[in-house]
Amino acid sequence: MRFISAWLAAAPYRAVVLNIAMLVLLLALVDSAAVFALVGASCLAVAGLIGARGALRASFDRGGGARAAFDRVLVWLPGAAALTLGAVGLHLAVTAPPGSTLHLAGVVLFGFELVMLALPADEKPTPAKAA
Amino acid sequence: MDFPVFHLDVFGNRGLIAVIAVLHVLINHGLAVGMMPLVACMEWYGHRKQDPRWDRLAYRILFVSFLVTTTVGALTGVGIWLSVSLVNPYSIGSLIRVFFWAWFVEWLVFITEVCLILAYTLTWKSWSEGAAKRRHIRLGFALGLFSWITMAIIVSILGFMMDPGNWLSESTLLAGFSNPVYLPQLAFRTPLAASMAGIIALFLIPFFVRRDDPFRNEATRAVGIWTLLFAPFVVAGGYWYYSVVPAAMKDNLAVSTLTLQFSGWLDDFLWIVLATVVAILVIVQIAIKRPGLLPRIATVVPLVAILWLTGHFERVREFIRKPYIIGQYMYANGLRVEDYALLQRDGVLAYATYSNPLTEAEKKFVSAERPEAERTAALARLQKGKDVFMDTCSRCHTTHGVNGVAGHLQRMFGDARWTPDLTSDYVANMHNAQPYMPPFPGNKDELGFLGTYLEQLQGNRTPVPGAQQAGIAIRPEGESRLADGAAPKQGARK
Repeated sequence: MRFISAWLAAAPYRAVVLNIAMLVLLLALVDSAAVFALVGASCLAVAGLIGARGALRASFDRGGGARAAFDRVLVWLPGAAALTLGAVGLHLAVTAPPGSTLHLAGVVLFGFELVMLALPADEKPTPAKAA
Repeated sequence: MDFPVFHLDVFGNRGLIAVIAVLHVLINHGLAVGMMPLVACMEWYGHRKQDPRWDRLAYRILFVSFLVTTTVGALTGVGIWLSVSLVNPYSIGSLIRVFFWAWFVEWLVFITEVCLILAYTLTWKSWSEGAAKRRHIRLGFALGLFSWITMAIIVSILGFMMDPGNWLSESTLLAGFSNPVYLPQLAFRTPLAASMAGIIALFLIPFFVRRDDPFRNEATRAVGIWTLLFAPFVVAGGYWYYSVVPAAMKDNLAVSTLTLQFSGWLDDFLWIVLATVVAILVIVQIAIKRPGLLPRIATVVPLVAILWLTGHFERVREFIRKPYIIGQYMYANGLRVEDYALLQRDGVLAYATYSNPLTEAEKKFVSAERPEAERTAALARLQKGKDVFMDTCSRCHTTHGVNGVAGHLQRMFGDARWTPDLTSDYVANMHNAQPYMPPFPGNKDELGFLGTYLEQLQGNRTPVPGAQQAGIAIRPEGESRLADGAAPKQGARK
């Protein structure tokens, strides 16, 4: 137990991944499309809103100009892509026949994209070195 | 049939073109059309941020692209011309007639592109400050634009081969250039090239930036964003492209994707394709979100995946337009649709200038113990059968090699004797059963000759040499017709 705690504490993202994996596993085991749709959509919405709030804040921190526009793309695109793909995964998980390859692919895709949404992008640009 | 028949009887003519052309497309899309704008963006971004690390990385990636595009890329470009001229001179001849000025402009643009990449690479270090740097960055974007224009012109010709559209009635360059498949295909290939460049750059970054340098993560994330940015456009462009592919060609999807033998596995294959696309997206997302967690080996997955997907797409695009090589205008055997009535009346041999001499292995089919007159007649019949085969089948088929006719006959008729009656009945109607096959272009006698030639293939596995090995002979009928002035003169046919 102590080993697991130490392992989880060593990298915060591990706890996020584990939590989401357990949630998705539970949703898959419940075997109810309605529950999966409701809980899954709520998760995507919450994670999306939190991500959007962070992206909005980061956007206002930037100056103007073309470089800032590129930096905004850097801020917004990963979340938008994860949200879109997560929605696709959820759609597959809910509509495909349970147990089918499509269903399994949807569940895995949904879980992965939820992780992508929930994980903060914690790495900031590093200062330039001298040439 | 005005050219000697170049033929590769083991690997197949199509294989020769495919290897050269697919390699060229991968280099063109990944390292030129997509990579040049990406490198220019890196240089610009580094300049705006006053971060020389971007500059160094951009230069190293450019240098790799420069080396590959100016060697393998240039050679395969010339190789495409050489191989298609050898394998199907009639189709390339028609395309040159229609697209002469487009190709001329493309040549000018290509020469400009070569000059620009030389200038861009060689001035990188000398134009590194102030106004010179800004000029250099503009040079990079100009290079990207010219790379794209070359693709934009060639894509029109590829679209034309699938569906010539109004050109069939108007016969103008503009009608051919603006064929229905052109813009959708361009809308697909442009973001595909950009995404492919991003994936190649993701693979290259670990070679140029040390693992302990925090810049590696920053660069990986930015290039991942570039890749992901174009991904939805690849999907949207692909959907648009697929929607304009003529319905008759979509019926060929299974065979064009997996060959006749495995065509039943289309659904499974499409799942593999989908899983591959998802795998690319997943790795790119990890590269963006947690680049530090992405091992170098993981970048090989999207690289191999995108190269395979693009290469396979080219294979499907080439096959799906069968039975035509130029939609509704010319069949894959190089014979024009409108010439068929004439050929089926007079026979293809009446218009064949060259003959392909029988090999010793083929002659063995006719027993040496037969009376001389009978043997001579049988050999003549076999010779005609071989000429019919070489003129009408060998553009796509080998005898026993890749896509060999013997393999197809074995699958259909097994070990039963492949008598001329049996095979000629099949050949006469094969286009009804298999819509990707052109109708047989010759007359009834030639069906019989072909059947005789196919019959000897059952016991003769010796590869058939093309004109490049065995040489050619002028057909006697052709000589006499020329002497009588009755033969169709070159140029009399469009």
